[in-house]
Amino acid sequence: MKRIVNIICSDKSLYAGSILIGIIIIFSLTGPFLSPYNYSSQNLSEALQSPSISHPLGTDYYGRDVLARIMHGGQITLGIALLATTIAVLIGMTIGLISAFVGGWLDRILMRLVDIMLGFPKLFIILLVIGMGYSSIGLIILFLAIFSWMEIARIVRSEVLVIKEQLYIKSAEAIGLRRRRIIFIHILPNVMGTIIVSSVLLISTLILIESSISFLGLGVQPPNASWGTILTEGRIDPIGTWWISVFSGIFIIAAIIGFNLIGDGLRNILDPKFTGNS
Amino acid sequence: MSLLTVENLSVINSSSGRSISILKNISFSLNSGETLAVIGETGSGKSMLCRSIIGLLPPCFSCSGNICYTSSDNTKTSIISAEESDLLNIRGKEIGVVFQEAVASLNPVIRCGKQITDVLYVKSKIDKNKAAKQARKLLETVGLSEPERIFHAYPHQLSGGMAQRVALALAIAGEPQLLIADEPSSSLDSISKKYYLNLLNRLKQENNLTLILVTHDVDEALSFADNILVLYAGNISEYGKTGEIQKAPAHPYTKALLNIAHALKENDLPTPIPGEISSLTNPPSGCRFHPRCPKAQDICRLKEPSSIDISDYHSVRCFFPADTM
Amino acid sequence: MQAGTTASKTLLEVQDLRIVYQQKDTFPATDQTVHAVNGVSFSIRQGESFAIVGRSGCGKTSIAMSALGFVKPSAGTISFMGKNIWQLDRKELRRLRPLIQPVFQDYGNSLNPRMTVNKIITEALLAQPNDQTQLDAVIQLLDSVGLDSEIRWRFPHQLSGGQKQRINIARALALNPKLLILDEPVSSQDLSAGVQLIELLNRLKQTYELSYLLISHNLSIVRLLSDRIAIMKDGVFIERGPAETLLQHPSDNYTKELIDASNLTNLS
Repeated sequence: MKRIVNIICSDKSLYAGSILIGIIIIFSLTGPFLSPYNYSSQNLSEALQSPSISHPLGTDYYGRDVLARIMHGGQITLGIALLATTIAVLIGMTIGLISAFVGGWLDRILMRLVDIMLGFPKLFIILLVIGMGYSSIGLIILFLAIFSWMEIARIVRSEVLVIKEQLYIKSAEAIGLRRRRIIFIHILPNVMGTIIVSSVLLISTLILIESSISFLGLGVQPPNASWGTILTEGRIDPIGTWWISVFSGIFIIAAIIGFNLIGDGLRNILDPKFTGNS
Repeated sequence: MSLLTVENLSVINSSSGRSISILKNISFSLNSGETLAVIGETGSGKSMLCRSIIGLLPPCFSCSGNICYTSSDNTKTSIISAEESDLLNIRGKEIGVVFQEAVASLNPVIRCGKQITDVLYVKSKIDKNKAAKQARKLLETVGLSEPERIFHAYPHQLSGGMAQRVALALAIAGEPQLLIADEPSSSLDSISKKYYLNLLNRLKQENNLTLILVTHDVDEALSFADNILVLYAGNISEYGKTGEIQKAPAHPYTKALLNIAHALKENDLPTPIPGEISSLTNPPSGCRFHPRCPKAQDICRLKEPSSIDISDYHSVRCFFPADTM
Repeated sequence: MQAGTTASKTLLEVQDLRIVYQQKDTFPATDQTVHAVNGVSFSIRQGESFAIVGRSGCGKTSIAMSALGFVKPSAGTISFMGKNIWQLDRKELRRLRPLIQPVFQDYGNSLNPRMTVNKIITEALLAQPNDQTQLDAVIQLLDSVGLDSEIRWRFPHQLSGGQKQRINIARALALNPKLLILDEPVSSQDLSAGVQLIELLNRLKQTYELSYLLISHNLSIVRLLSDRIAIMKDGVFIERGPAETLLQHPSDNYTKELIDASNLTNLS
């Protein structure tokens, strides 16, 4: 634990990003227990109040406390982005590794598959399916994952192809190590840095995509709310009820900046020649 | 006439939060037409010396002292305090540089001929056709037998020796007075190396080039240079005329290096210097060579030796220099 | 010494080795067949050191890569202790491989940057059944290549060039090899560090009865490390013989040129 803190402190952008994301996560997880309001309980007599002491971020059309909704929305938004990223990374890593190692026709087929998937109008497909009425959080996660593993697969493949030819891999082969050990002990750890950095950056991309789908009203459905959903609720009168969109928008931006900062910082730290913590 | 004077040059690297002294109190001067060889092991700071002279130190490095360069029109420029725009006029036109990794110092996506043509076009302000013609001539000058083919080739299509020649052509395209060659031959095989050094020697005489040759090959330095500067862990160990140093090396380090080179030539088994070069991050106290020095006494551990003049053109930094003359 | 080596048995036998590459250029698209090695035969006996000398691009590294099992020959055989290494199945090859260990020129790149010295050497030790405890073995190996035991907690980028190359040698020794393939082991080293390595390699050869296949372009280094030398040009051996004889009385002009090139005093 102490080592992790040391590592985080050794890079400014990682430090800033971790604090930002840490605050957002703690806020989203513990908030609902501390807040006197429930994210979905309506109170029409208090509808559309601007920020005040009792409702620090105001209330929406149904009199729901925006702060409580943003806390709840954080859980949904971050949860979707993290889960979808994990699935995407697992798919991308597997396909990238197989592609680089087996090579030949399988490599060619997999890489064409990546090309096809990248060429797919993913937002359109997502909108089409969800628009047909099959919307659920699980489905959104699956969709985001299926349409975002390709970058990871490409990165892993090209990195592995480079590392495979390094002399330390040749030396490991000359020692007589098994192929499995060479892949998992020698190659994967050297690719891991790039994978981690690109997955952290993928999180912020997915937060943005999820928000846009929800903004279009096709993502997370009521009574659940993501930051994107809340953002939409302010669009009827964006100036008169500014607090609904502005505060949820700030959280989206803060989370994206936070994850990007972490990604940048990790890029520096995961370079083995980085000496800040040794 | 002195072309380049370096006085008390110190370079400090502060990138990792603390100051590491890369070079300390380096002073030498170079007359027009002379060749200076800088000998040193990896980590002795010789590449940083080259980069300070052309004002291209990495951002976290700070430089103190004085580097004075006299241009061909007799204006003096202090490299350390000069504006970037003045340095741009000096680099290429006044001072040319060749790096060790020739292939890496050429742009991989531009054909060799075009790279040289561009330099000529920018530096000599002649029209493009003329520049292209001159570029072909330059490729011939550096001893490439098929200038036309090389002109249209990309750097990766060349062998190491050829790439090193193209890099040399690029460096002399602006007709510099001073050429800095940073280990130009150490990645070449022995035959290419000899060809390359012959070429360098010829160019030097034909164009009256002043040359700073950085090398870790003592033989190369002895056969080439008028003056030798021996660098150890950021300090000058010994500096003087080649003949004097070859005949009577005063510093134990120089002496050991010369012995190795001599033994290799005579087919004897050389005696290596024990230990490793001392690190710049954690330099030993006193004289930086003392942990490896056969003559080290207590004083070597405690105090840094100052420079002693042995003759007019020969100085050494050692408490116990070998008897000379 | 001469008598001793002739009596000992042949370790590596290369017969009429040919290696052909297909060189592809994408733009303009051309397919070129490069004959890197064009019919080379030699043998190395136990305890002997054989050097292949030639300029870069003459095919010497291809021979080394082929003997290490990385580049498949297009014709000819490479036998190690009587077995043709390119006809072994994967299991047999894995058993044989530890006995032939490489030491590459690019010393920095041949160590995994994410592993400590300790891990690098332990890994090699584990690949081979060993009766010593690992920690002792690591320290002993470091000692035999002249390194302090404290160094085992460092990462490769914290080492000097000479130290890295010693770690490469220590890792090779961990496998009790019979043959070391040294591809320009000292040419990118500083003068003094290079001489230290030559001394070390000569000492290890005696202690562990190692054989060397040395690949180099530098005759002044080769003469210090080898018993027999072959001069290679354009994929074939053009001259070969015992080291001293060949260097004292070269018969081929190319050999003379190579010898002349290692002497820099007569620059034109």
